[in-house]
Amino acid sequence: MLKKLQVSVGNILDFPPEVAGEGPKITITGRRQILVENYVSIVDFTEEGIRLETVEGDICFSGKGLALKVILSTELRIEGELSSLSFVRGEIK
Amino acid sequence: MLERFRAFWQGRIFFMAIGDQLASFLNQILKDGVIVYHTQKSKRGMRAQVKLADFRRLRRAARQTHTRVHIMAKYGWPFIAARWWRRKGLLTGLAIIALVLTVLSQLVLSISVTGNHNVIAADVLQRAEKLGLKNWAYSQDLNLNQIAKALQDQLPDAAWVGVERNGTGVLIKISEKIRPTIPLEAGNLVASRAGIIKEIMVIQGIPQIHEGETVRAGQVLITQALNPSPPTTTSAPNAVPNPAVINPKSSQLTAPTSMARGFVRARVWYSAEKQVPLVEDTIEESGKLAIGWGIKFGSRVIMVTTQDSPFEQNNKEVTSHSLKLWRNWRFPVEVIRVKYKELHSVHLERSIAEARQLAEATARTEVQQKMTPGVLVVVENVKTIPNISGAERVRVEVETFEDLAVYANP
Repeated sequence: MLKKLQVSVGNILDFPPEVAGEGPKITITGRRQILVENYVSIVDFTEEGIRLETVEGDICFSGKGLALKVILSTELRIEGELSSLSFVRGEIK
Repeated sequence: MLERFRAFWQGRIFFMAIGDQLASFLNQILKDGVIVYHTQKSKRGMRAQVKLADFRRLRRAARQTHTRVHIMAKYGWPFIAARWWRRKGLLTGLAIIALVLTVLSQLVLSISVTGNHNVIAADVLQRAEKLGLKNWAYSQDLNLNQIAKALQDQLPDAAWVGVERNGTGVLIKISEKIRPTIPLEAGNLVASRAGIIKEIMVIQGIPQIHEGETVRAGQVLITQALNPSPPTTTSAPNAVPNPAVINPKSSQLTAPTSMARGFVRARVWYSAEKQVPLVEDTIEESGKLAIGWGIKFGSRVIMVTTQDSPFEQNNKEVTSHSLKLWRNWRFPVEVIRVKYKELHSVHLERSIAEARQLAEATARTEVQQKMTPGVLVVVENVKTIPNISGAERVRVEVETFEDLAVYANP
């Protein structure tokens, strides 16, 4: 109920979705740099793939030589050669 | 750059985390507020970096997730500082060296004297020492201008003394006075030119030549009397008055009573030779002019009008006009005026008579420049030198009768 109200107010006031909702914000620059904000936790990571838990399901990044350059509690920066991005499980809230 | 500097300043620890629950370990330390950098998984485990201050906070997460943390490297200023702090002797030594160098650099360690020939360097150094300028003196206490002035006052042979400090060295520069030399012939009458003596009249002094003798320029004619005697009043009736001798008040050469006085008249020859070709190609100014204006900024010149010379051959005169703002500050942009003067080739063909006339006129002008002004010309000979193909060569010889006696250059 509170969530719906928050989204409705956000829509009326023309807030950007990342401010109104709790979903992740993913910024990809070229193929080498990815910034993920509003993630919940790191599920798994290797050089070939990184899986992050968010409120709207898990996000999988796959590629080559992936590394977590900077990790903070709410955002992280990934560098490496990105080949695909997919959502696993969860639902759009 | 700033990020690297911050990493260096804060200190970073490169570690390897080994365990089965690396993702949980990572999430746990993130919850504890640790920032993790450059995290990468390898076969052995997970490599990452944390700030030195955050490293202790890994312990709890490592215990909870059964992860072992191994330090691989340490980077940054805190580790360097700790290493230096352990080497207190080295630090003390460096501090002592810095202190000694600082103190020594404030002292005068060497003094040298340059530019002296007659003034003795040891004497200068001794006088400087009395004024406080000596080795191991504290250089900030020295008033070098005052020392230079005092040295200049003390050294009569020094026209100027400068004292300059370069680090620990002090250089005393001396410019010595150039004293006028008293010539050996002072007071004697000497020959101003070479010639054959025709008349000698000694008013005072001892004649050193006789009539008919050939003298060289600078040769002593009449030496001053050893025992000064009052000047005789007799003079030759046809003598031309010599203002330097007869009327000393009108000249700078004031003759004391012991100085030689008299007249020595002689025949003197002057000559000049000139050659003028019959056919000549020269380059002369035609009289045509073109003026261009431009702007100059540093070494770069932009011509606004008449960018290039309109003439094939030209002489270029550049005049720069700059705006003076204040004292020696000038406006960096200057206005320049370029004057192009056209040059053209001139082909001259002269007849033999014309060439001879021109050579004679040129040679005569040269002879007149050599001659003493206002002397009596006795004979003038103009000789044409034969056997020169394509040119005329003329020699002008002039014989004069003039007084040779002059006082030696004081």
